[in-house]
Amino acid sequence: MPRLFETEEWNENLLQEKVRYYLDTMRTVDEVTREFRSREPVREFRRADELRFHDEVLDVRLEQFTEAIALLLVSDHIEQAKSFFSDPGWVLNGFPTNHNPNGFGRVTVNVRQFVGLSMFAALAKEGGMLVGESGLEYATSRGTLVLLRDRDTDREFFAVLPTLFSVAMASKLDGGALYYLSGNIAELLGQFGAFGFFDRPEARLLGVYRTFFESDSLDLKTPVLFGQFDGFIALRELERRYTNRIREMRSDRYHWIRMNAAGDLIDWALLIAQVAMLRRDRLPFLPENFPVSAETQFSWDLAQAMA
Amino acid sequence: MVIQWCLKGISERPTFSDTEAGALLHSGIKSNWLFNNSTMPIELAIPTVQGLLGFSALLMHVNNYAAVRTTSPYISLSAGVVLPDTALGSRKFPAWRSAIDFATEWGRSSGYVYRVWTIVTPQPSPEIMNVSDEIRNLNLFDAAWKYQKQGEITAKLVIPPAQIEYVVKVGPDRRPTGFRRDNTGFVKPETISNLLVEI
Repeated sequence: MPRLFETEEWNENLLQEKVRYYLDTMRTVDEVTREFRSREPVREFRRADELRFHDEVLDVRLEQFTEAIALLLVSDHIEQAKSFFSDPGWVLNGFPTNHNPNGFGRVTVNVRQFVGLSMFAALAKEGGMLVGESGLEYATSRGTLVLLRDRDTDREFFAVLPTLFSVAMASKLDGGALYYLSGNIAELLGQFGAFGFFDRPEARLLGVYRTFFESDSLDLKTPVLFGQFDGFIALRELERRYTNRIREMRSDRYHWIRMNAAGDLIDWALLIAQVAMLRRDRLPFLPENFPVSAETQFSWDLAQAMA
Repeated sequence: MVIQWCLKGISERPTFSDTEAGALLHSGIKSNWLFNNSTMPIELAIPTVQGLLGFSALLMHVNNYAAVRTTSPYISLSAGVVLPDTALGSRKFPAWRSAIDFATEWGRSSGYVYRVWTIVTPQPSPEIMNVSDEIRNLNLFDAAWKYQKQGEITAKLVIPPAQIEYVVKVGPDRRPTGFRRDNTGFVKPETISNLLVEI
């Protein structure tokens, strides 16, 4: 099973302790957030403030959930990780949904939460993305995530579009969701500047899905804008970025050995793209035996194990 | 200059419990260098510390803490951070998370969280003793990217008692235990703001 180089040095008890800490303390996040909240709520905006508070709590839960999952995935505990990330209820409620016979229902979430939770569900082969009445949704057997989109979050939404595209490709395929995402990318590209969209390797990576659009005869304009070669180069760029980050993190032995290296142990945008490519069997253009670093190989092996 | 609220986590141990945690409100939060050289005469301590402060020393404190943990004149604080427009969306890391993670050693002990304020400079000032550096700002400290998620602000030598508002104790499950001490000698940061009243 895949294991990130030099995580063999990690103490297994400490690892499990740390994972438990992140998961167990998810239900104390609201209490602690209230204790250390620096801003006093303004009476006139109490309702809006409560909603913002709820959002903050979910954001924190999602980050520590992500850290727990990353620790497990890089250290050869894929099955244990899967048992957690197939259930968005962990983040939404602070505990697993199977404690609730009705599931978690329909929950409206912000952009960050939608990306994170739908990505985890897609990695676990749980449910799929679709277009509902108000926009994007992700339906799982335990409930449905509804993306809250407004003018304030447009910029953030555009930044995550490539990741969402990979999530859609990795999950149960829905033409409507792909059209919706593709249309939004086309709209973004029509905007002046497009927030440096093309500069991001995550965006250029969309080119790797081109074979999919061609062979499935889907009339989607966007992927045509990204060539297959662009996608391939972007993929290598993301792999290199991941390799460099892990090597940097490992060089700080004090924190690495304690599993306190503060960077991300997984490049999630890369991983979900790799899983999507493997699940759609659309890698004919990737050169075989292309030399890759041990870190990149790990990410591919991990993707293969989940594909 | 910016006046920044920060949190600082310190874990409980046999030599540092409720009494000692409360006492810090009156003695200030010392850097490890000061803690280990507390008997050095001040006329010697000041030039010695000045000689230890510098850009590489600051980066060493952040990126290679193991090498300087007992001798560093710097003090790590957290102010939290938002990473906007990442491939996963806007990611928020509140200050309390880093402070409590360090205070409880990721759930292995109880710990104390202090709320303090400090003056942060708009550009790197690793040699200037009375002000802090905004390590979390990658425009200024791109070499410290690894720890951006901790929202680090790095102070120097000591956080004076007047700048510490309170200390709260948290358990290994991160819940406040009920232990809280407010600093009677605390001075509000508004005192040094640039808002003047009319004469």
